[in-house]
Amino acid sequence: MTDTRIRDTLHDVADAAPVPHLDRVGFERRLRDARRRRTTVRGVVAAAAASVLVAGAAGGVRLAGELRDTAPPPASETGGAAKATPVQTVPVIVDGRLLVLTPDGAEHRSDVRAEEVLAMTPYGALVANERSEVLLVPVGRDGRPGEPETVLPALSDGVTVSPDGEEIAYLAPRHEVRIIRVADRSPVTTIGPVDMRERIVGVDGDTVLTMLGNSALRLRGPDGVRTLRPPAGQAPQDASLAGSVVRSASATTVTTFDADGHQLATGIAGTVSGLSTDGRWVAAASDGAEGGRRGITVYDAATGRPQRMAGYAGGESIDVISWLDHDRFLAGGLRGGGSFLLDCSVAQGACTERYADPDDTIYSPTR
Amino acid sequence: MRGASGSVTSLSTFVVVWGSSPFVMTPVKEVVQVSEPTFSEFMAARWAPLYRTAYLLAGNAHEAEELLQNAMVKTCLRWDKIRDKQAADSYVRTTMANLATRLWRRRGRELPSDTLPEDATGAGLDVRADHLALWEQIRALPPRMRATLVLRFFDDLTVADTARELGCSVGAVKSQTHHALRRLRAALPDLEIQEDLR
Repeated sequence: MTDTRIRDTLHDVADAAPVPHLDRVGFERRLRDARRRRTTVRGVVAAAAASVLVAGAAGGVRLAGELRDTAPPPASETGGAAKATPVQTVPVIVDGRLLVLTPDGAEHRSDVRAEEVLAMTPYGALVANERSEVLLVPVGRDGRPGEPETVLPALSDGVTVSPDGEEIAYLAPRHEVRIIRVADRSPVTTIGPVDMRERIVGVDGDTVLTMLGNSALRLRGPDGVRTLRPPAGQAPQDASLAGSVVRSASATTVTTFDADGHQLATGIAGTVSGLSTDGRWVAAASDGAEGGRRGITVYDAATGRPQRMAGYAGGESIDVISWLDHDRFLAGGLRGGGSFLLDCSVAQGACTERYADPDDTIYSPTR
Repeated sequence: MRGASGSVTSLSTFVVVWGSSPFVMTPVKEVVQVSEPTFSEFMAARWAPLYRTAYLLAGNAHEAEELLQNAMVKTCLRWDKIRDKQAADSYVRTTMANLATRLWRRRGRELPSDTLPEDATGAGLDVRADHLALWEQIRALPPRMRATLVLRFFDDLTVADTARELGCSVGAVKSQTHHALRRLRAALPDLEIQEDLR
């Protein structure tokens, strides 16, 4: 007798087990929860990194993006609307409410109900609630969240925040794109009406980047509209705008464009990518399956010249790349059943593992 | 045609039948352009067969559905990045095996007890008594060991494919199989089980 007995047993048991009907409603609920947790985990992982980074940062490291140095700009730059926000705090959503994590490990809970953190800006945390309202929650220097202020009323679509956290773009009635300043909600400009199929994917200053279905990108600014067409077979699935550079990412490659719509670099291999806050670099992670080298590579956004990042050989999937400023970015992914986080510096040409969560407990927002 | 390589010719002259197995291709008279299935189509077509794998990995109906639902959610979130949609089964199975291991760890590495919960023993299943006895012992194996047996002997994967899906070496699969069979032999000495390490 061979392993036939095991084979027969497994088939016998599997065939005898009644198959339940596919619970699509339950599936959709799980999917929504999972998407929400993915948003949360990015913030929590970033918070862990912040603690590590800040602990070793004599004199203070300037961290932009999610961990941006949120010291307020001079009042003269913001019309006196600057809020006193602390350095390197990270807002996350836990159990449907805003929670602010500080580098010293403190947690400050808020009564503000929220579904998603949109960005940490120099003026506080921008969050969206269950009614799709966008709220600005000022955060004190000790990390304590203050009273929320409404930035955008109910049912605002396509809300996107600029890389420096100064502007916010959204889709207004009659398919107009409006850009306002986060500081005082004053208007920057109104664009459009735009095509009904366009959705906003980036904003920087008075320019917005929209995605037209899955075929093209449109850069809409004071100089008019420019349609950006990635090479054949590289339809954009994700895109971003920073420093007058556009990143268009297909499932496997990245193309960059300048503000005039000219292609800068093409064929950058990467299944996950991100554009630095000044638009100079594209960080891309590849699993090697599409011909690109496994690991993380930083490319000059203008020329496509690669710079290999040491410290990560690939092998695990990278799910998130989030730039902190013009030099540093975080890369997070899954390893086995858990999460890990890399802190990478272009200047140093290397990534360092800053955080590991082998049991993936961080995915449970109630822990 | 099992495991068709999917060349340009075969893709243009065969239509993929999702209801049976993602690898089964049926010849048709006219040239048919095969479009990639949506995730919804994939889930509807593959729910039942993947549930059976989930049942064997989890050991009971409740956890099997949990396992499969969660694996389907993870697959849905990564659907755009799964290049070969015909191989999506593999992604779901890998995810289920990892989730089952994680669930086992979170429970504090429960050791199999002599008295298994009634609904989990398969007592309500219409299977042969000797199969039921062997199934109870397979259920009591640690999750990676059980997953190795399920992928090799239920899903008919080779040692190499099992290693790829479980993210381990070929040697580890052989070792897990060897130890699993040794445990089963020890638990059921009347059974004659030999290894076939293809």
